[in-house]
Amino acid sequence: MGSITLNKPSGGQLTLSPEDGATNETVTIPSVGVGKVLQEVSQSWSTSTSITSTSFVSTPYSLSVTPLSQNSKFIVSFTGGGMYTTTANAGYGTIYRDSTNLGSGVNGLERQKSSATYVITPHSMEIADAPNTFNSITYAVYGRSEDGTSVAFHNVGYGYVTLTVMEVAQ
Amino acid sequence: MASILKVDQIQLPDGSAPTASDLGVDVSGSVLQVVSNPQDSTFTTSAGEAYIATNNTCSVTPKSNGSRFKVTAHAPLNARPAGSNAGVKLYVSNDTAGTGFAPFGDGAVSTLDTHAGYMYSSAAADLWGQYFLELMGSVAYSLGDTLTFKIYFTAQGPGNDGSTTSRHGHTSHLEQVTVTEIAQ
Repeated sequence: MGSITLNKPSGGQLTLSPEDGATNETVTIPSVGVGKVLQEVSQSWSTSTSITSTSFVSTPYSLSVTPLSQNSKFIVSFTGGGMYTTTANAGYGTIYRDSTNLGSGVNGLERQKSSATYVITPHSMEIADAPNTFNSITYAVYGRSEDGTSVAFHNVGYGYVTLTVMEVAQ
Repeated sequence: MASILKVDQIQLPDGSAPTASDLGVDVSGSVLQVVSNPQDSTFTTSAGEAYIATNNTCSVTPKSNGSRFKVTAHAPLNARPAGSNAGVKLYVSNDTAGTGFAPFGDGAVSTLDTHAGYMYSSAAADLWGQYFLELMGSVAYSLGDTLTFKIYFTAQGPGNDGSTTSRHGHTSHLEQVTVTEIAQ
């Protein structure tokens, strides 16, 4: 009697063996776990950070996760707090997976600008990502200034920002 | 040979209902329920006022012990006149246990008890924006308890003159809190 042994990603083994070998049989294995939330991590910061770079630069807000399945989708959001921009200058935000910008080139995932002397509005970014790896990955929030004038990407006086990462089995 | 097993109830030896774990079913990570509660109300507050409760709220009765909750909330937010600010917090209460409302989310209470979202304009007389919050966290409860997630709102300014009429929500637009229960 033959059998098949599979190594489980989470450790241990799964062994498949026939009840009897009299006839050919087909066994369809369901995609166990599809749609399940395999893990979720979340962190909130009140930490202030200001940016003058016109290219995207990292902020203190990042989370690292090790995928539990290679095919998972990751839903990543960054919300709340407030971004301060001054007259005619735009502030941009985006989310990186390691060195990859998940947003739209230089425009990222969010933009704020006002003709007022200065304006503060809360962050709101969310994106779904499919990294297709078992290796540890880091989701990090990046920001930039349009004209090089200082942008307060967040300030402790504006409360806190939250980065959330959720892995969903596919 | 086909076999059929029909039962109308499964009990543990002590007569109690088995949990999924008792039956060998791994439900961890399963989305047990999603509940939302669209509203279209408006709240106005004045300078220096403490946080006030809004109608942007959602109640849920957990279906499993020890679940985690993902909570999203959004609404229009208005800072006016120029020089005024507006801020929101996300609180949760175990209504059954009578715990009262407290900050929700992963992290230190001292952090979570500040603005979850904040808006200000130095010159625009009537600045409307939008907040969107997404927080994960755990709450102490027993099966059968009802939890209520609620947005609180505050505003100050302009300066210290106390004349702000900043607003949360708008009767022309839906605001909403959505709660997703995730089994652990």
